[in-house]
Amino acid sequence: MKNLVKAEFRRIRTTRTVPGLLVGMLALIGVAAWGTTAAADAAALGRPLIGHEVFLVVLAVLPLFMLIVGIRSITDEFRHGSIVPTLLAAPRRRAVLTAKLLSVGATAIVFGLAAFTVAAGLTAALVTAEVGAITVGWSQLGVFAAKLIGVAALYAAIGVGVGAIIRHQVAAIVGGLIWVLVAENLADGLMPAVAKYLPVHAANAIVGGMPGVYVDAGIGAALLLGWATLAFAVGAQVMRRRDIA
Amino acid sequence: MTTTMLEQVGEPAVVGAPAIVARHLTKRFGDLTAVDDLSFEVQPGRVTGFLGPNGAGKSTTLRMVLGLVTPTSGTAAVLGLPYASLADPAGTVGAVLETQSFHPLRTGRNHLRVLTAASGIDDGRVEQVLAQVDLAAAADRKAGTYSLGMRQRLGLAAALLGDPGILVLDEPANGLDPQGIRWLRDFLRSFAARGRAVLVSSHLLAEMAQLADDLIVIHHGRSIRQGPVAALTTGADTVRVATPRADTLMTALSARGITVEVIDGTSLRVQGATAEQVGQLAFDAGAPVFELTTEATSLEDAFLDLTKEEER
Repeated sequence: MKNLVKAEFRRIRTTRTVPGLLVGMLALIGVAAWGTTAAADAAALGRPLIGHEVFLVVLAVLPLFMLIVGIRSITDEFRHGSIVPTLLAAPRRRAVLTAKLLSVGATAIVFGLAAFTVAAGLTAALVTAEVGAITVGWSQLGVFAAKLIGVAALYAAIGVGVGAIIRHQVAAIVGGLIWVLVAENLADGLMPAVAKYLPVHAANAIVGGMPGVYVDAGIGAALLLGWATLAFAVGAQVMRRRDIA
Repeated sequence: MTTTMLEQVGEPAVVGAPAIVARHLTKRFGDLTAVDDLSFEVQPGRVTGFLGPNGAGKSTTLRMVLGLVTPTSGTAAVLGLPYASLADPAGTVGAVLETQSFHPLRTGRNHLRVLTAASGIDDGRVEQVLAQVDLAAAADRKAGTYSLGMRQRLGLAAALLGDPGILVLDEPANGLDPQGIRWLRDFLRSFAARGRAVLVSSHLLAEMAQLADDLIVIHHGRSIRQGPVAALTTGADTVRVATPRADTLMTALSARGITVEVIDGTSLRVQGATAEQVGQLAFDAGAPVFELTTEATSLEDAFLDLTKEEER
């Protein structure tokens, strides 16, 4: 397993895909930090750091980017045919998927730390320049960051499962985005009693959402872990049976 | 996959044992039977050619041997084990299946370094195989910029990383220029000469005639002939004989059950007899012989005859 994880990290580092996604995500967050600060009135600028709107953007984009990183970790291999040498080197397919899971999980931590560093650093600098000082609230910020990075890692795991099930890259990514951005919102209106158990709702419950709409944070964590486990298990089963023809 | 004795054999291979054994391999994709009850063995120290027209089921068979495609029934074993059960796959079998099996934006060297990491092979091996396939100068270029020949060589470099005792190649000459084909042929011959096994597929007869020791000929997923290349063409030679008394000679040959074909009024093509036998019969029958030639059957003729028989 150690060898396979090492191979995955080499895979991640040796094309521009993942670094490109990281830069893209940080650029989005940077622009959001600048835009939200510039548009904020005096009352908004006086809030503690965690209260700034840039973190809503981090909340929206970090899990989404990690879902894409997870999906691409496997669909890139099908798309370019590298799945053949990968499976010849490691014919135990579940082990290959597990290595991808561990590597994208670790990547989620890197993405998460970078996202919070840019969001917090830039916002603090811009607000300080504007009004002279800012209250950070380290413990609140730390707890929020830890929860959101956990969510992002689980989204990446779901991505690995989804990519193994739907090996067509565009279909998998578009399907994933539609689910996160559209399907669960529709479910909210159509069947709210069920919607709160779905992955995006569970994720929102973990990072702190409205009571009633969302389940308790602990239950949300268990639910999202369950969804990730299910996606991975189904993906591994599909991969095990799939003919690489 | 049905469990047979092949899957249960856990003993290390003994010297002289077949490198690859396929038993009753069958693969159906829906209604299409791509491979139909195919059995064969690949011996160490020999180049085994896997010959058949496009769509004959060669690639599917190789993928079943390598654990990429699950057979509908039958088994394939490498050194007595299913591929997925090999303790050291890269050190046992090297395979080149497709010309594109890498991320186009990753450099050739990094592609190989991903694979050494996955197989626990020392990174120093990357430089050795790059030199071996003459790709060192292009190693830091993105693999997507490689020519078809360079892509084939990158695939071969990947296959050689684990210094395997068995090579499996699917149509490796595709896209190679004549020098590249010559290089590959010499490489595979010397690989086999060191006691290692090569299984190489092709739809090109001329290539196989020059490269292979043994042949497995398949058509519509079924084995139609297996054996040494020489045996495939022997016995199929024809003798051309010219005599003004063609009718007399024809009667004499036919009386002995020898197949005769009339080319024109004075020439016959004889199958199933040597030139000496035909000459003696002509002498006995009092037919003066003006010409007596053995026409060697090429592998191509033999192959076309075999596939034609299969069509009937």
